[in-house]
Amino acid sequence: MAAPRGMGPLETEVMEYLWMVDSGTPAQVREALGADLAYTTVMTILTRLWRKGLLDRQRSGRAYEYRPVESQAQHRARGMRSTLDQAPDREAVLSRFVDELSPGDARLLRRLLERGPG
Amino acid sequence: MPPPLVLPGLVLVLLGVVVGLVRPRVPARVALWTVGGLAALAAVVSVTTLAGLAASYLLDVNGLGAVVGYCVAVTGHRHVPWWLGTTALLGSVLVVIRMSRAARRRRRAGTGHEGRRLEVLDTSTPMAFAAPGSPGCVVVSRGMLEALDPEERRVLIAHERAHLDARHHRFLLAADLAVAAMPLLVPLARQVRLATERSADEMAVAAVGGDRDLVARAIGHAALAGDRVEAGGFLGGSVVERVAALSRAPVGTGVGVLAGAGGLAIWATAALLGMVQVVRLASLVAHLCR
Repeated sequence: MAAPRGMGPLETEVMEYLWMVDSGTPAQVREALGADLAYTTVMTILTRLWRKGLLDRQRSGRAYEYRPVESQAQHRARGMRSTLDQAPDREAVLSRFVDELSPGDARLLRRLLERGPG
Repeated sequence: MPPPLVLPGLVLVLLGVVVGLVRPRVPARVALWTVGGLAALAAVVSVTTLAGLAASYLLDVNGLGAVVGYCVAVTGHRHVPWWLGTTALLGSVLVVIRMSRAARRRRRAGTGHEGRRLEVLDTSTPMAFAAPGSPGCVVVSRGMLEALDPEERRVLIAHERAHLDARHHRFLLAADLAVAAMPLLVPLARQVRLATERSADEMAVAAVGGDRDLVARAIGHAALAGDRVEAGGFLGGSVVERVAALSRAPVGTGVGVLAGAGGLAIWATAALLGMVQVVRLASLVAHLCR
């Protein structure tokens, strides 16, 4: 899976893990990603992701417990929307995007559009 | 009269069976080190036994023995019938090929995931495995994640990460090499595989704060969702045995110490057998080469 914009590889993996398990303390995240990681490295990454607004945090004992602000799907969709917003020729980008969809994705998109909003 | 050359190998195969019977009742870590070490030593004994037979046979070959200063009193030398001798010679070549293949297969297991720690495969087939390397990557499929709730996913990741942190691939390599050298050791290799799974389960228990029921539930749900073969790692070994072990209280310290001592005794026996074979082989080779 491609890294979401503006995240390093380790940040992506931390987010990936927290999306899987809903929430985690620095110790839990470190345990899941490898004992060779320094605790401070994990803490730095979590703090950075929190500053970027991707994670919420709440005191849990002595440490913070971090949890993703939005779901992975919401996050990815926002990334796609912001790319589109930056394009001066929205229509060209969007039509190109639709042209190059795989048959499976095209079917899925058609089904979603027919279902309508909500 | 020296004991037959193949005796140490047979004793090791028997030891493997005995260890398999006791293994589920001892602490997972002790069991893993016992069977893993036994597998490594069994590989050594098998290789040296085969090479010993081949060397003994070469000493017997007409003329060759005289050329190299053949002497019936050579330590460890026994008359080897021609059929056993030629089989051992051919077997030695075969074993070298099989072992290098097994080693290469294990080395390849981690490729494709270098530099990553966690990877989600976009497939609905439920599977999860640990790809060794540095730092080592836990690979899970979307299908497996969908089959589990967030707490169970925590267990899944902790279990796979435990394989990597505890370097279980080295134990599995020893098991593969043992089987490559001696096909009769398949049951021992199975014990090693089961022991890595049990050990990773206990490490996962520790990672989720000692909740044995949660770990058992995660394995159960994964088993219901998954195709046993495809799921690889997480459904490795006997799911029934793993869940049963988790539903029992952890093994007490007394049993642990006793099991550790037993494991050391088994190691010592296997090491002794290995040494006997190595010394035999060395003296034969020394005579062959003089």
